[in-house]
Amino acid sequence: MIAYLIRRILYAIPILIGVNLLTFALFFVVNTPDDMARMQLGIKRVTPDAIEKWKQQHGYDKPLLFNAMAEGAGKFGDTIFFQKSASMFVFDFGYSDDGRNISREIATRMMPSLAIALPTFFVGLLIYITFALLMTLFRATALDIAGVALCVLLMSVSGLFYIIGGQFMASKLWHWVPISGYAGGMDSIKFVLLPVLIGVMGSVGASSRWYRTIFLEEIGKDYVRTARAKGLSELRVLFRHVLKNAMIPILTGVVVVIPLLFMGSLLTESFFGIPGLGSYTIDAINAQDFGVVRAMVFLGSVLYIAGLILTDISYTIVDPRVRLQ
Amino acid sequence: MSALLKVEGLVTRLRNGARIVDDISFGIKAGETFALLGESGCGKSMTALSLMRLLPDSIHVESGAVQLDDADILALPERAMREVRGGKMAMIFQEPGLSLNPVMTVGEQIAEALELHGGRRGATILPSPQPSPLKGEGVEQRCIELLQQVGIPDAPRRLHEYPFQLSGGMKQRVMIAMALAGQPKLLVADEPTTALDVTIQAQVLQLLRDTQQQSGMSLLLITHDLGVVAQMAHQVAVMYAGHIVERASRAQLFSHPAHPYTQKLFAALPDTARSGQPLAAIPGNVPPLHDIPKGCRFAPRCDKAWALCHEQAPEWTTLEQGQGVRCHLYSEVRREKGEGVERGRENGEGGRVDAAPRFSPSSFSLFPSLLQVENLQVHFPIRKGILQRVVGQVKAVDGVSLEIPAGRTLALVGESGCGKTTAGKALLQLIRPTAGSVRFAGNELIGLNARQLRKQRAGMQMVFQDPYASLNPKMRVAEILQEGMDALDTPSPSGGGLGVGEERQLHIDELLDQVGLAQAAKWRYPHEFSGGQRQRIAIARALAVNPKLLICDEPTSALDVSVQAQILNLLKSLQQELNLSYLFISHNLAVVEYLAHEVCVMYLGCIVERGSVQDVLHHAQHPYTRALLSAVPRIDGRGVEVVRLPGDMPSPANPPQGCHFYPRCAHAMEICRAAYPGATGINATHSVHCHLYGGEKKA
Repeated sequence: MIAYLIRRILYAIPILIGVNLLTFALFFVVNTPDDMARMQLGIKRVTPDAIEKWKQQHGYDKPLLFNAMAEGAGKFGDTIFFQKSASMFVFDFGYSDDGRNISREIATRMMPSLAIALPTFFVGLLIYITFALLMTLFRATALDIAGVALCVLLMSVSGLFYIIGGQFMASKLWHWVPISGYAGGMDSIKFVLLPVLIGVMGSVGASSRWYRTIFLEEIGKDYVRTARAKGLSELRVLFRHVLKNAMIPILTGVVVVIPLLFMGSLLTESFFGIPGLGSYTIDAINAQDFGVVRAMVFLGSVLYIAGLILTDISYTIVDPRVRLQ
Repeated sequence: MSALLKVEGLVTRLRNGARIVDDISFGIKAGETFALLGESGCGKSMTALSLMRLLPDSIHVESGAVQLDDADILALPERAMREVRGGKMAMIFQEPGLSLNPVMTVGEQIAEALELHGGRRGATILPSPQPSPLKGEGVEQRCIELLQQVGIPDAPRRLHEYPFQLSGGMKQRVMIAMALAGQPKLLVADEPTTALDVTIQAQVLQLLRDTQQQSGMSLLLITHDLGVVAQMAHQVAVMYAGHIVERASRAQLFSHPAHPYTQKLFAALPDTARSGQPLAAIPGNVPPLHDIPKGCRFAPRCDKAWALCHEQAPEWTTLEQGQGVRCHLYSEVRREKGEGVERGRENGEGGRVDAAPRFSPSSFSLFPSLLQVENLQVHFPIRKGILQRVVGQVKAVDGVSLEIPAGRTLALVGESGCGKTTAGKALLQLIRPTAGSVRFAGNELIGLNARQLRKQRAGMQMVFQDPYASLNPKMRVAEILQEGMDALDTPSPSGGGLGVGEERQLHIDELLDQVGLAQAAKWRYPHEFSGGQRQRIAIARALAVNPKLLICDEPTSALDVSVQAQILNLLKSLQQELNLSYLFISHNLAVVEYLAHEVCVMYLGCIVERGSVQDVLHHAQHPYTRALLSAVPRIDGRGVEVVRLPGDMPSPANPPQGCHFYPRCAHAMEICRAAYPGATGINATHSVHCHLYGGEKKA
């Protein structure tokens, strides 16, 4: 298993270089270093000199990918791409265009993101699985049909509607929780409650319906018939036999997103004014801050790869047949 | 003795109204084995599931009564029924690989049954991925006892293993152990050995008999295999399309089968006695459940049917000694007409046979060799570590040599995992062989590039095992047949001024005719056909490019006996007509005996014995061949003393040193451990790899 993990981590390196290259190319297809400088310097005092100076200060005065002027390895090394990318592999993200240390920014913004994402994830998972198990237990009855209908209804409503509707009712009409904002410590609870609730609501339909399908597929298998032939009650068949086997496909979709929880949610954080990593990314995109965008894409890729590796490891825990090698 | 289980007028329906089980009645006495015999789809499994009340959601019992030990099974509340399931009445299933929970240890699964029925309440096992200690010494002890009772060696260790770590035979033993945990009075066994190899089947059947003798339980044995019935049953009921059509003791059934269907079943079995003539195949197919004929359900396929049979369903008629039959031949109507009732097995033999030519015994003239295989090896690398270095080889095929003359059939026989299918695919270059030589019609195939190989492909084609999976469901029959011709640019045999497309259409009509399908079949999709018809399509597909050699990989093992006979007849008449050669890959010795001229027996990647059918199947020399032959259940009930093979086939990744077979061989000697035996000639055509017969050793 150790050998397998090492191999997977080695595979990650070319993937990350590729992701970086793509982000870089996409960003500079629509932007030039001159645009970035103008954006940062504001509209009024833009002189060609000021732009050159800004570019020099921020290291954007080199060619993008290939430096024909340089010697030897410098042809590739002395470029914006290499200078800005190499340090990322040791998680040194440098400074944003407004002069802040990106790594420190990420560290402080991670907590608010997690405060929303973690409860949404775990409470959500519990609710989706419970709901799906209930529908499975009462399969092909009116309860099941009503459950599926409810799921479809919830799926059909846009996520934005939940956010705006929730803010309107819970904050504006009933004054239960603040509309938006964030505070540290215990105060965070009142800010976190609504986003979590809405996050869970937003995907209860799709997830429960999907899990129900997985459970129903498992319940038709031969080993379930064997379990019933032993005289087990339906509840025990469901919990002891079906649930454990159904975890295998469920984990495929679930474990992979756990590391990504650190990244927060773009939509929720912007609407609720949470100073997390999601809103950080959105702001950076708006400000055309290449340093931050690239850092966040890089971090996202690393976490996604970590998620895939974690998924593989989790298989070995729930499925004794899987041995990683 | 009064009956332990009594079933009266059981009717089980699909939700759409089709009667899957229709008015079934029978009784099982204590300690008796009752066999329910029938082909796939006849309702035998649904009968068993009705008894257990384990029917799928879309199927329900409509009427009837089931009495087990004075308990009215169909009227019990669900809670009480759970006590019966696994308690008084336990069940084992066909696919042991699928019937055990893959993520629970063997011990956990047995303990669960003990906890419910073994008088050991609260005996849970911690659900944990690690081998968990069974809670309570008593339960663990009892689990080990049960595993030992079903003949699992090293039971304390096996307790903590998962099903995937066990072989097929072992898994079925675990299923039996689980069923025995509740000390049932009735064990329902639904095709318990169908998914197993013959030598393993013999072990499991023996185990069931032994267990029955020790515990005095009754056995409801559901099977399609007359051989298994002959070995096991006291009483037999034959099912056809939801009805029981005949009920008799084993002796009566085998000496005087009364129902025409039963007679046909016997006649359709391939056998040496009939190897010169076509099998008495039952024409047509089992009627679909939603479209059951009005009169007798067997009438459309019965050669004794007359007008009444198509009009009116026959009633149950009791013959002497408790034998009963559902057939107009024996009913009052017929007797009043004063017609003598013919009975006996001869009837079956005289039955209508497919219009296949009579086969003359082949003359031993010169057979020019069509395919020559020398020292064929297929090794699959085992990779390990960060850099995926090759650390070993699975020697799936390890030095196979064979030769097939034109117009002859060579059978490659062996149990699952012996490498016979891999060998077949390697001949066709579907898998690239590691080493060796394959010469087809004088041309070496190994080392050819894709373009050169395509030219040779027209000469050899393959018919696969499962006609349900091997035909593309999204293509019409005509497209399936034409694809091969287009790909290999086959010249049409008809010739003459037609365009290529028209010629191919004509050729397709011809092919369908050859394999006995109507031309209208051209525009239909595979799912519209039955299993036997699909296999005909598969054969037509292979024939489309005018091959000289067909590699048939278990072409009948997914089919029912009556349909198997049709396919075997077809293959035999095609061989006569087109002078085809067959490489017939099979585990079924009876089929081999019927079809083949020569036989090679494979064990763990190597051929252990070869020779003519007569030599190998009647004068077998190798201990493995003998064991294999003796393990086949014979319908005459006499049979040979079963040579029981202990254990399972070893893994080809790690074959035993010396002779691969010695760990399971009763005659193993010192030398068998040391060296793989070379070939010893018994006579001109018969040779064997065994130290018992001397011969020089392989270097």
